[in-house]
Amino acid sequence: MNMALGFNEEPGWRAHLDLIFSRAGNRTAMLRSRHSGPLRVQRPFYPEGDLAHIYILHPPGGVVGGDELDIRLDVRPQAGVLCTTPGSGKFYRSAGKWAMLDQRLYVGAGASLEWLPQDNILFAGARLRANTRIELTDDAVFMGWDISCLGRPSSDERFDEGAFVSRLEFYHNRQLLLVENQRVLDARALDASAGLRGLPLSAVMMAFPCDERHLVQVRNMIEAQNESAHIGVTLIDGLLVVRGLGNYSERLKQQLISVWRTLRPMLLDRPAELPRIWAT
Amino acid sequence: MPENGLSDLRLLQLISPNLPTGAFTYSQGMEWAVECGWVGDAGGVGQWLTSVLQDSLCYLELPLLFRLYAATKDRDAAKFLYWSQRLYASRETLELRDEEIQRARALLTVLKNLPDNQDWQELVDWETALMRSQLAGYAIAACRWHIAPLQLLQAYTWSWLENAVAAAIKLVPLGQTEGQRLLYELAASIQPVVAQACEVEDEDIGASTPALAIASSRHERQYSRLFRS
Repeated sequence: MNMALGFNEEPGWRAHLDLIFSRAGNRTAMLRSRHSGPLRVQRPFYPEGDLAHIYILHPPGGVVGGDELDIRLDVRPQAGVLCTTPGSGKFYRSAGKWAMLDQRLYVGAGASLEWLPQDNILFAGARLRANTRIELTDDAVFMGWDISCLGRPSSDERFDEGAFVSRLEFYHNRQLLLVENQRVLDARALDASAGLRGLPLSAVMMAFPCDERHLVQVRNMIEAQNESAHIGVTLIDGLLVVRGLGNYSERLKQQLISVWRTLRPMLLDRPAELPRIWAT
Repeated sequence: MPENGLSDLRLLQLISPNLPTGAFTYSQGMEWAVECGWVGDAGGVGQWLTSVLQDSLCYLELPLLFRLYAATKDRDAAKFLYWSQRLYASRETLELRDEEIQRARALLTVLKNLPDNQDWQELVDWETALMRSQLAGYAIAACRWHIAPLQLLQAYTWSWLENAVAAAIKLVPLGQTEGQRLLYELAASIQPVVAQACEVEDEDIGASTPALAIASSRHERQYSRLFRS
């Protein structure tokens, strides 16, 4: 990959967030929270009693070329965490440098992680390389999504001159179950017939461990809706994968939330109450 | 006959549509793409296949075939297994994974039943990889038959394209003659794609075809279909 050099930019800002959660009595405690640079986490709160809800914050509000964001989240055995963000991630136009986003999520035996960040918006001319690695052990439970918006459809801004390379790897007991890639290096890729088809929004959601029952429930729910967004679900080696493309972020987000609502009672034996921060 | 004459013929056999691996029974998402109106005519088929060529073959199948071939040549069992697993994990849907396995097994059966394979140790030692990935079988066969890697990559791409156009002829209003015209046109981009594929770095390997993945997911449940799931 060519890392074009940016000459007129400040050196990038490095941000690091390292969180460890463990079971403490009848609830999940944040055992460690280390950060450097502009990434923060609020103190966990407990709307469901035991499960820790956390919000990851990026106070500068946006990322520019050269910035690096590292997020490590370690959910130790028997702990339970739901993680989201208060707003969309924003990646601004770059004079050439790549912004880097590196996320590593570990979920131990008997633990659960719901990884529900809001969408990442890439402004025209942004350059982002994102790597996400999810590792589960034994009977860990994971539900999570990744939503990207290329350009800003609300202001008719296409993702011209931008670049986006994203890789997501999902492991269970060190075995690689899925590699999911996205690569937009030129304007052609925005309209590629078997690729993005001119749609600015793309999403992938994963849930584990799933079987035929989960697949049928989610598929019935999706097919019952009359959709403008293109969306499909499949079950590969215990991993349920929902992929969608769309025009308007709200619509696609609502569909993923519906999937989460369908799966949460089945996988965690809990009703799905929307995180309050999404309503603000 | 020139020195490499037999290699050329072996390559023709390896990529023949008559090789009983069932290539013609799969549409790789195209059947749903037609059903939902993404692809409707020769132009649409051309755009769809060009996208698969550039966004999938160029970055996934071809770079991996290249590496599997090199691993065979180096007798590097660990790398061979690693890249074959990487390919399987990159298949986005159940349907695409089933296809990979079905075709891998069928190819392995053909290779195992060749008359001169008594000393072909990879067939036994590398079975785990060969059962999961069709490309693994192509790689060891090409190595054994002294087929050059670039030729293998080009021929593999050609056979994929030929199958895909044959599928399109059954799915959209596209006659045999028009199909040949399309094949002729698209074949011109095989060489540059193969050249580009050989330059892809390890960390950039992977398809970027979300619409194909969605189409394949939907095809798993498509009500009436010609092609296998």
